[in-house]
Amino acid sequence: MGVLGEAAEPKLGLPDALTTIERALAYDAPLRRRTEGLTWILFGLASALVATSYVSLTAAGVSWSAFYALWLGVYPLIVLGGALLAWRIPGVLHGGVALEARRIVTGALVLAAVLFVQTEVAWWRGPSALGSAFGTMSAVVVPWAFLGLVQWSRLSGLGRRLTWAVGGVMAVTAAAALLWVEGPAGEADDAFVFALAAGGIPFLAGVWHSLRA
Amino acid sequence: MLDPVIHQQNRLQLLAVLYRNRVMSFTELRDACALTSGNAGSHLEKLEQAGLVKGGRLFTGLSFELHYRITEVGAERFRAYLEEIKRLVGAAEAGRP
Repeated sequence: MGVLGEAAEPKLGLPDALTTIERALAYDAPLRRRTEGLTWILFGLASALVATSYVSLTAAGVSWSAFYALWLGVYPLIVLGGALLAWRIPGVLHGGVALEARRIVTGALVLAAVLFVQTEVAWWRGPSALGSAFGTMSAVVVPWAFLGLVQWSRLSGLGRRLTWAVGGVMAVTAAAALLWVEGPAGEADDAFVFALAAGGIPFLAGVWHSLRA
Repeated sequence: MLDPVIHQQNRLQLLAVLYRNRVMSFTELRDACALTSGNAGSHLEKLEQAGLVKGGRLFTGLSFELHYRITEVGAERFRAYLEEIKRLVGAAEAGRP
């Protein structure tokens, strides 16, 4: 009988030990960091592209449905391309599953669901709500920025307090950007602000993570 | 005989990943081995108590991160473990105990 409170460890067979060793020795941490960084740089660029295209298309008089058709078509392709890249590079594979690819695809699906719901709500409130800066900020920028923050927090191993502190700074920056867009900057600078806000965090997270590799 | 400290699924995985990469953050190690924080922490503690790995905090530009490094003793004992595995596989192929 074992000591009370101490669970007996399961026996490890030779084939399992060999498989464990083989998998563990194939894990290349610097390569994985670079790949993660690259994937998130792509994510940041894609986010910036989407935000910019929204502003450009709406400024050109293209309807929201066209923007969403573009978003739904292009963005998942870019994300899946990045995930596929992560999956194809040896050393990223772990336990027969590309962990990072699975995370990114899951994140993209959650994001798509959030955006879909937000669009429906905004549409239900009336088309004018969609065109407002607030609608854009909540529908396009915030989910991406939030996902970027969560990813940054995970990659960098930030503590919970520091993550919330960074989140607070982001919220203040977003509010300042909103005021700036509405005020002195005017419509012409919208594309830049949205691109920066949407893509900046994941892009910087990717660059920073790659440099650490 | 296989080293009882190393011959456990999670500890073997943690030590082998560290043997390959030498130094890794706790978060990376936990994710690489698909373990929970508690599980990874308790097994790393056992490895550290046996002197096979050494934990410490490193400033990485934003925060002090917990990192683990494989020790010389750890690398030596892991190589000895691999030799013992090879011997066992060879013996199994030759049909002797």
